[in-house]
Amino acid sequence: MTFRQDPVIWEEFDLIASRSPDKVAVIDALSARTISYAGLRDSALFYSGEIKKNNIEAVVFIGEPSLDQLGLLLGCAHARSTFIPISGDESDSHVIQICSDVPANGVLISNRNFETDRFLPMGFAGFSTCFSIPADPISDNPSDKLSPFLVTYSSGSTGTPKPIAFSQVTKRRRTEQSIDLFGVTEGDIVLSASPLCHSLGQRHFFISILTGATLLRCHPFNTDRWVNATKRYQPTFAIPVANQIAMVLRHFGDDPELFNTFRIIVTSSAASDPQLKKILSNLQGTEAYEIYGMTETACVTCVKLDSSSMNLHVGAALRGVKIKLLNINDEGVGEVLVKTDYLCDGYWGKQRLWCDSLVDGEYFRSGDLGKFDGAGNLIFCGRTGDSYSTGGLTVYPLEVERVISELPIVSSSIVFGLENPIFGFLTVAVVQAQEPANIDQILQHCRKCLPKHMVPAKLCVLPTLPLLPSGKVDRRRVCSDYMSRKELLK
Amino acid sequence: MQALKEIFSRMGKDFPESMDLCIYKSGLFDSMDIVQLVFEIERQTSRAIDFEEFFGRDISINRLCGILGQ
Repeated sequence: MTFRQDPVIWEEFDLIASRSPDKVAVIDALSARTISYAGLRDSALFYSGEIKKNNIEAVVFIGEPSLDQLGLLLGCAHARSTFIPISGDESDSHVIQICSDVPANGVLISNRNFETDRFLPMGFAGFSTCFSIPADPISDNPSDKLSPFLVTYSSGSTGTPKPIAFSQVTKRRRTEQSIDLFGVTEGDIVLSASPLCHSLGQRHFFISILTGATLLRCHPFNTDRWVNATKRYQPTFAIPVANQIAMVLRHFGDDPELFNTFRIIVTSSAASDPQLKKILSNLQGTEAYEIYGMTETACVTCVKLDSSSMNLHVGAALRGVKIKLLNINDEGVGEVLVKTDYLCDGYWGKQRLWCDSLVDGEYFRSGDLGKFDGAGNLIFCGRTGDSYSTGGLTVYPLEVERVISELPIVSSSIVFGLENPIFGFLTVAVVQAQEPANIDQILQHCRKCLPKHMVPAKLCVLPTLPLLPSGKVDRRRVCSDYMSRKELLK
Repeated sequence: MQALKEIFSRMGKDFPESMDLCIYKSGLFDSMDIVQLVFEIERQTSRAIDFEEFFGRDISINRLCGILGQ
C-alpha cells in the first residue's frame, strides 16, 4: 500500500494563510477564543519542526485538540507524517490496540491520562506521552512503509473500526467535491458540531481551511451551544448529523432565528426521517440537502430537499461516482457497491481487509442495503447485517424506524431483531419519545403502515437514547442495553 | 374476557364465538397475528410469554383467558 506524498493540503493552506494572514481561521464556541490563519500556520510550522526533530512518522491524538493543538494536524501535513485522531471516549485497551496497529514510529498525545507502562514519558512539544513500536508486522514490502497523511478510525457503529487512510492528494480531492457541491467560499462561516476524530469533523475542517472560510467549532454538541453559537457568530454552512438537527428543532423549534443565518444546511451520517426532511425543506432562505456516503467513499449521492423530494430516496450517483447493487433479492434490494473518484487510499496496514472490501478491485462494498426507484435514485434500506428474517420474511429495520419516526411524539427509534426459537427473530423497537409515550398510538401506526411481519413484537419507550460522539444514536448500546434487561420492558 | 375482547378489537379481529376453537389452526389468526397477540398479552400481564410453550398447544379463548387470569 503506497500513498502519494505530495503535500498539497499544506501548499493550499499555506497559500491562503499568506493571502489572508489576519483572517480568523477557527473560532472555538466553547471558549470564544479564535486563531487566525497566520497563527494556525505558525503553530503548524512549530509542530512540524518538533515532528522532524524527533523523527516522528505518526501522531496519534486522543481527544479533541484544543485551538492551539489544531496546528498539529497541519504540522503533520507540512512534515509529511501521519495524523491519527481518536475519540477521547475510546477505552485504554482500544487505544493500545490502535497504537500497536500503526505501522510506523509514532507519538501518542492525549488530553486525558493513561495509566499504563506502555507509554513512556518523553516530552514532545509540551505533551507527556510517547510510544515506539516495531515496523510493520504485516508486510515486508518496503513500499508499505510510506505513510498516509491522515488515518480516520471509523466509529464502529457499522462494524469493527477500520483505519481509513488518506494521502493529502486524496483528502484534497474529496474536500473539493464538497466545496463544489455546496459552493463554499471564503465568505462562509462553517459550523462544525462533530469531533475531529470523526470524518464529518474533518470534512468541516478541511472545507474551511482550503477555501479560506472560518471554522466555528461547536463540539461537544449540545442544543444550547449550537443555538448560542448560531446567534453569536451567524454561521452560513454546516453538515450536522441528522440527529443533531432534530435535537435542535425539538428544543428550539419555534425560534424563528434558529437557521436563518445558514445559506446551506446538509444532513449526513444517518438517514433523515420524513418529519425532519419536511421541516428542513420549508426553511425560508436556507437550502437543505441530504448526502449519502461512507468515510471510505466521500459523497456518493446528494439530494436537495424540497416539497417534491419528500420520498425515501437519497438521490442519484454524483459525477465521478457509479452505484450498483450486489446480490439483489426478489424485492430489488441488494448491497450497495460504489465506484468513485473520491475513494480513500485503503485501510492502513490492513491490506487484506481492504482487498476484501472491494469487488472487482474497484467497487467498494458499502455494507448498506439499497434499491433503485424508477428514476435511478437510490433508496437506502439499512445495513446488510441489520436485516433479519422473521417467520421466513425479511425485515429491514430502517423501514420500521422510518414509519415509527413519522409520529410527532417520537424523537428517534432503533429497531433490531431479537432471536426467537419459533420465528428466527422477533422485531424489537426501542423508541425515544418526547412526551409520556402512548405505546398504543405507536403500535396502531405501525399496524396501519407496515407489513404484518415488520410490526414490532416488543416495544420499549425511553426518554433518551445513548449517543455516539458523532451525534448518531449508539445502536449497539441500545441493543445490548435491551438484551441485558431481563424483565419485560413496556 | 373484557380485556381479551379489547385486545382483539385493537388488532382488528373478530372475537370468535367458540371458546375452544384454536384461533391459529382455524385461520382466524396467522403466525404474525399471534406474535402481536403475544405482545398484547405481555403488555397486559407484565410478564414474558414462552413462545415454544405458547405455540405447543391449541390457542383458544379459554386458554387465553387463563393466561390473562380471567
